[in-house]
Amino acid sequence: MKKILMAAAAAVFAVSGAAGAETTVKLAFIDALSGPFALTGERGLQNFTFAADYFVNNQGGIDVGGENVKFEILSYDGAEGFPSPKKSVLQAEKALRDGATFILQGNSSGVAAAMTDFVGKNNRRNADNPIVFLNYSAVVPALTNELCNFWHFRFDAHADIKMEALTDVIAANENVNSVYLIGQDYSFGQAVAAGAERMLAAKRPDIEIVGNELHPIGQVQDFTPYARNVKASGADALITGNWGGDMVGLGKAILEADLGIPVYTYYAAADGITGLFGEAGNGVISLVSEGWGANPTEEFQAYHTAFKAQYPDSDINAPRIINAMGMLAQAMQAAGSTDPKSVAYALENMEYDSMLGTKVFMRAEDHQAFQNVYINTHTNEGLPTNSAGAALDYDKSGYGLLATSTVEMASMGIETTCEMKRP
Amino acid sequence: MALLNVNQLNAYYGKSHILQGVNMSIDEGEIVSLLGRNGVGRSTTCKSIMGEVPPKGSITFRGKEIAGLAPHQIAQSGIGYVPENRDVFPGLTVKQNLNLGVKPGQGASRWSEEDFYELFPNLRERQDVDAAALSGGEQQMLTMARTLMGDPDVVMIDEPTEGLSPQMCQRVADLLEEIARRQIAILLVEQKLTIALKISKRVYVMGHGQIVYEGTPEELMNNDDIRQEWLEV
Amino acid sequence: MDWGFITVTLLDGVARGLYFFLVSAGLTLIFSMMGVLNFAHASFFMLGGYFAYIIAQEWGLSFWVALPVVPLVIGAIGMVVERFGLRQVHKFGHVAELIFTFGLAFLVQEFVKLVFGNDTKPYAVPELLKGPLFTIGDQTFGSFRAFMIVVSISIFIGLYLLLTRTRVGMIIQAALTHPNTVSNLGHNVPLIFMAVFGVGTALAALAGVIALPTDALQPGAAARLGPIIFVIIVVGGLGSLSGALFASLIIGVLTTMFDASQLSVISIMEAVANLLGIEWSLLERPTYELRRLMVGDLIMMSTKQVGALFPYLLMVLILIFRPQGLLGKRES
Repeated sequence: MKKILMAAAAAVFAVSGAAGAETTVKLAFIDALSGPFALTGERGLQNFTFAADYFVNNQGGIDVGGENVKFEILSYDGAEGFPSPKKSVLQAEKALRDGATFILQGNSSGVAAAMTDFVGKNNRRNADNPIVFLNYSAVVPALTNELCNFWHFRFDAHADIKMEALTDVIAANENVNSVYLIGQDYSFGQAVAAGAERMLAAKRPDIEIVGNELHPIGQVQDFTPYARNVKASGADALITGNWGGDMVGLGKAILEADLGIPVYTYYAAADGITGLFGEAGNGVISLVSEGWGANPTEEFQAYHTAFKAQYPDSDINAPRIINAMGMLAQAMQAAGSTDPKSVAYALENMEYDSMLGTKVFMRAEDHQAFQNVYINTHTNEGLPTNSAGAALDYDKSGYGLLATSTVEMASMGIETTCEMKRP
Repeated sequence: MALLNVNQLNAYYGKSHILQGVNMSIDEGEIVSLLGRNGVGRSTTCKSIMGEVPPKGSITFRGKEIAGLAPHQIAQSGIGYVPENRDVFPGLTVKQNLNLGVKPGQGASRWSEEDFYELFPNLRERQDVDAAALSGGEQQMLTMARTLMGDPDVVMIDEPTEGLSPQMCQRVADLLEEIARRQIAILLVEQKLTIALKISKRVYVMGHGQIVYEGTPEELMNNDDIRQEWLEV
Repeated sequence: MDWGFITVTLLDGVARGLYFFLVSAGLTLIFSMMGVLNFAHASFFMLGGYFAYIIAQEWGLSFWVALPVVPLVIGAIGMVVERFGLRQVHKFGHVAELIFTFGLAFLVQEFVKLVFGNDTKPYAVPELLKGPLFTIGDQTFGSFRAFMIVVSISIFIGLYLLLTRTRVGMIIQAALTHPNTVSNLGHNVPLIFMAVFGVGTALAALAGVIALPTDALQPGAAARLGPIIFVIIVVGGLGSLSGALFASLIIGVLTTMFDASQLSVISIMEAVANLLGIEWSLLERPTYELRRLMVGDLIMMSTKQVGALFPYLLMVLILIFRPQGLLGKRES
């Protein structure tokens, strides 16, 4: 019944829209859709498709300067086995030829660095036909610092912002006197390790870093030896930025080794990981991220219910995607244009009221979004519910993330080395 | 009726036409030699009969067509083959090698292990030794014995005396006589004439993939032309 | 580093080496017998993991059902592949067979992606074998890994007895080197090939069932294991079961040791400098600063990264100095 109503509504809007001009804005989703990290990519695509429909297409389109605008998401596989900067850039070139004016990418900071470089160069050479890069997940700080670029916008809190939040929690924990770091050996993993070293040294100089290991991304078959080293080191806490299959593998090993210490992570949830940890991860795994908080808004509860109705086997694994789509639609309306440059200017300094229960501020200086960041615990108790009364869990496991502390507008004043050049 | 009858047998290795219409036959208990120089197709004839090289033409054994059957089916019908390269199975003992000659589901046999140990006391002494450690002559005896363990009615033996000492050649000849005594037909493939002419009832001479001469050993000895053209080096 | 750590790491390595053996046992027999390097062999390992995951976790039956059923099912699939695939392709020569198995490996990978998706499946250790078996120092050794070791060793003993004590085993041994001769003695060699292929794939599947709960069950699992298995059968000697076991254990234990080692080029350089009485300690500086040095990435390289090259280095050395492999019989 609901579907019929929505279809009817859409039909009415479509008719009313037909009075003015129709424009379809093409958004190119470029991420790993094959290889070991493909699930993260596939879920990202589902989340973008749903958010684009929610904010734009299911409203019958949005009114932008008298034109009726709809979003179309084109998807491109950016992986050659692993997420590949080279292939992703080739795909971006293809997307340009296909008429895309916005790029959605996030998995792997290595890819994002290549992408922001490509977008900058293309837009200088091709000033009449620019493209904007909406980065929803790549969090190496450099992207909004030394590598910053007018055409790049980051909707996720970057690694240092998250690490500030994490190290605040760790520093406040008197039981932690030593910490072990494990990460993937590329720009992001290195950034996490560097941030942890630097911030812990500043906040709790007495905490000893007893291990700092970087492993090749996607190539470790069995993390048991790593877990054994953590155990042997006597560390009181483990910090890891691992994601995808590397988080699954590491998680299995640390839970098997029964470390008995808190494990602070960036990405140890959803995409099979929560289901795998189950009870063994209860109270052990912590995760720092943006999100819906302990008391989600009604709008988000309804959004979640609708999302689950459309994708019962999927999850909202990157809530920031909601902000990215909502802010893009709002920026177009504010600019009264779908022109990428005008939209980019409209995004600068935007304050967005998100259904996630936070304001999102897109700082003009570096195009970094600031928002509430949560420290979450992996648990099956006290999880908030959606509008259908189902727990906001992951992997249909009954387990999910419960926000245990909130950092309001995290690191709002954090410094940036970005010297933004505007066209 | 002949025990084994080969009619217009053709065989190919890739594109080269090796056997070009071979006709021959062997009677029950008969010893026949297949003579010829190297490379004229004698071994290929054996391999075609065994089905190891796909045959074209007709091969009947006890009146039944066997061309096109798999090698193990042909072996089970009662044809034995001792290839020239004496391939004993390394890693298995002499005794184990002999036992592998016994076919699946085989009934009473004309041969037992004991027969061969009596003929070749060396094998008895070395029955628990890795077959690969035997001398060339012992390996030849072992492969012949192994094939006979399967109780064939006709056995094709390819160059059994090649590279053997005169004493060993005599042992081979003794075994051939013993085989004949037990009414088992032999197709002896040879280059040298000594043994072949001594024990055979009939001889075939092969050249260029065909049978070029058929006769008794005496007839062949008296036919200098054939010997010079097809046999002598 | 303490003795507990070394002991459990050794045992981890043994468990890893033994599951390598389960996979390589079939491959080495098949390669030796048929002369075909079966590129799809590791695919059966991966399928084993997926089928077991489906049976044990998606269908909610138990791991203990999957343990016997999956190898049987995949062994049967293996026999079908041999009978109606490989044997048909055989007449077009080894290159065609190689391409066939290569294609099959891709097919399985794409099939797995299509049916099971790209993600890492949460294939978990069965409830009964969760938790540690014993503890040395502060290191625990998991019951499941002990179970892996017991299963693999039982299979090795079983295979060894089958090959050396039974008539079928002797026929197989003979067919490893002289399939035609065995055929000429009246043994149904094609049937033996099919059976060996089936048993080989069943063992690979069994390895998948018992190894993938400790590893990552994803479509890349076969491609990651394949090269290692190839190295093992070359190092151990083609057709040699004991060689495969030996090489599997060497590679399993040493790669695990490398993974557990925490030395780096820089720490070794410093140790040498200190031995020579030179005051030099870069290690005092934070890692992120070290990485900014000109040769930062090189000196930060760990023994782990160097260790990943070890199996391939070993294979190259074996090929140069002992081409028949450690326990191989064939000279060619």
